[in-house]
Amino acid sequence: MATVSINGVNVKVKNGTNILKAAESIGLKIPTLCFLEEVNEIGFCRLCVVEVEGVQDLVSACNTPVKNKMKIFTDSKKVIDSRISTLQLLASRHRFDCWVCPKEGACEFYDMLKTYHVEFEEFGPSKGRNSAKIKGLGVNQDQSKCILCKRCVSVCAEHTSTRVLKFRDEDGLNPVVSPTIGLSFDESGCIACGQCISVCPTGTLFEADHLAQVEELLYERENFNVAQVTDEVKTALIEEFDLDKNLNLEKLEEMLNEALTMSGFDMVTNVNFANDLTVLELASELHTRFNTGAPLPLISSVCPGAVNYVEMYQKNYVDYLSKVKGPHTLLGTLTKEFLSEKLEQEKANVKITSIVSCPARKTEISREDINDVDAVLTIRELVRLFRKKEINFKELSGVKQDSLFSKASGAGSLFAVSGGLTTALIRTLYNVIEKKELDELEFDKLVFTEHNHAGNFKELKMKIGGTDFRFAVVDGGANMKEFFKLMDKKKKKYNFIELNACSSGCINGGLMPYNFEETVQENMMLRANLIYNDDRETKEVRKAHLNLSLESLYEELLVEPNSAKAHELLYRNFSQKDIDNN
Amino acid sequence: MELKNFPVNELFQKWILDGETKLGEPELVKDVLNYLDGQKGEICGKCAPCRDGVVRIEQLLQLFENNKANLNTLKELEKLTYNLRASRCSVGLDIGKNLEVVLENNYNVLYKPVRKY
Ligand code: SF4
Ligand code: SF4
Ligand code: SF4
Ligand code: FES
Repeated sequence: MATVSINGVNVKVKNGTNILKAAESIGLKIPTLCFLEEVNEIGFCRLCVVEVEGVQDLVSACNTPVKNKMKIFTDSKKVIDSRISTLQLLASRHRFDCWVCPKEGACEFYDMLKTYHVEFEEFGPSKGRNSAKIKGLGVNQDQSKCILCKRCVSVCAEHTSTRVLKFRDEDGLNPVVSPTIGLSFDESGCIACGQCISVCPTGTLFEADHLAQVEELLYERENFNVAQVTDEVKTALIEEFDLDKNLNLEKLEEMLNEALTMSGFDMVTNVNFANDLTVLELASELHTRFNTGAPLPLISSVCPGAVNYVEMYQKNYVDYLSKVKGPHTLLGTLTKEFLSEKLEQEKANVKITSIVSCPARKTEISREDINDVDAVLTIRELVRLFRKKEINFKELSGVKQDSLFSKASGAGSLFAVSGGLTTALIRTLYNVIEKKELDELEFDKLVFTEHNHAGNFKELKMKIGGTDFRFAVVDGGANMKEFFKLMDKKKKKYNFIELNACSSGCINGGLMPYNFEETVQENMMLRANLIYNDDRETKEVRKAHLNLSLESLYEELLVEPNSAKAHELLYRNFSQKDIDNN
Repeated sequence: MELKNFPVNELFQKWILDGETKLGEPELVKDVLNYLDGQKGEICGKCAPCRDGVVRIEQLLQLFENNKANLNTLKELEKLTYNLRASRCSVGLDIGKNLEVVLENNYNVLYKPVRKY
């Protein structure tokens, strides 16, 4: 243990603890801008500097370990003056257009300028550090706002393992953070997980904008606009609109329906319905592959970020990906092909907007064989739309969804959490193989308990129809990389692998509301519990194959899972993709 | 004094050890600018106090060179020089120390053109 004095207060901490953590233990929050625990502890921004008695220079609190008897001052004049000078320097090379900035008021840089009341004669829209704007189908970058904190570079390397973003310091006075020079994110190996966007303290990284397009779709009177909502988005509403934490998912869904209808959507459908359908098709696909000796494991393709990852970085496994379309694109197809006729709408006039939590779903709708979803909005874009439509979300009482594609089982809700898809699949696979119902509905090993950036992977073995079925759930590109290496090396056999590009699953999608260090654990648990409670407490039916609305869909259109019609409408192909990742 | 090729360490040894040595007024700003120019290639670009600070310090010195400096210029110069103590590595820290010596030994030279009376 070491005893140190911080601003005159004595504190005992473990040897090796950094000054930042030691200060935290007595309730002091030293400001940080580049620091991300365990991911980016590199001392780049110099905003956490403090004075240490007997040391000439200022030291960074985030990566300097305490020493016994150290006397630390976190708020001396020298410290505060230094922070202000550094902020002025960063601000002098930042383009300020906060009112249209994608950071939407959640800007850590702006907050810090405000805290220290930083004045600067050249404030106002300026050129910024670099005028380059890099476009992509999912991720965009406006380099005029980059403060070179390197958080995104570390997350892309440590969490995603794709190393798309790099700190390029050939010219030390003008470094840039960017994907391969001259290329878009998509060409540089970006899987569009959006994790870099979620950690960027400024509005430098942001999602491709679809809101303008959706507004156009809504203005066009001939259009029949359908909004497809996912559960992860519903779980974000409490944080986003500061709602009562005791509201359940059903209530949130009703409020969202009302707001979407007020915004001009003619109908709202539930992506969970398509999740149930996906479970049926997946169970059948897996069973067929198993029976025919086709290659296993079957790898889930529900997460488009994970699909991007396999196509670019695990090319040998492309043929193992499940061919069933991603749930929201599948729902788009069914709405245009099937529902439009029932509603007596011209197919060409039906316009579909999905509301989701990551940029990968934006990239997904541009794939060659996916053409039924017109736009993809993130929760953040949705909030902007509601604001423009003058909707006071907090005051809404909610309206029930009422479409053929609105009813879903508890299994469908689970897709938003890591391990949920596998849980849902097991419930139905058991029925497909054993021809009877499974009593056990939850599997402790697959349940989300804690949010972390780099969990390993989850495994479950279960006897179904006399055979041991092996399931694995892997979150985040870095874990996927290790997992595939291990599987190859140890020749491990799995029947099914669930891949999620984001740790914890879609509830931690790169475009969910921004989370700060202090609140991330609490918010992730809140989101996860909303999903689990929906499955456990609200839903009468908890298995996808017991969803009655699916029955009628199969009767009227698809015949049975894995049928020729299902293949025609709901299945797709994958290919190996080359990237230029320099 | 020809500074372009003057070994930097020797120069600062002179400034530091011989506190009485005042640089000639006309050369001071030019000499420091030359020194900074020589250091720029070493800057790694990782932290703002050094990467952006040195560029700004150069701009401020250029104001002196062009007779456009005022009291605020000098104040900012002092602040940014001190702020180099927050740099991440010895490149910025050393530039800072050397500039502090320059300021300490030649404050009057920089103060003269900005004073009011
Ligand atoms: S990044 Fe922050 S400070 Fe910069 S324009 Fe956006 S909101 Fe404003
Ligand atoms: S979206 Fe993901 S893969 Fe793409 S640059 Fe960001 S962190 Fe890397
Ligand atoms: S893009 Fe954002 S996260 Fe990346 S270095 Fe720039 S400011 Fe930091
Ligand atoms: S937070 Fe410590 S240097 Fe950036």
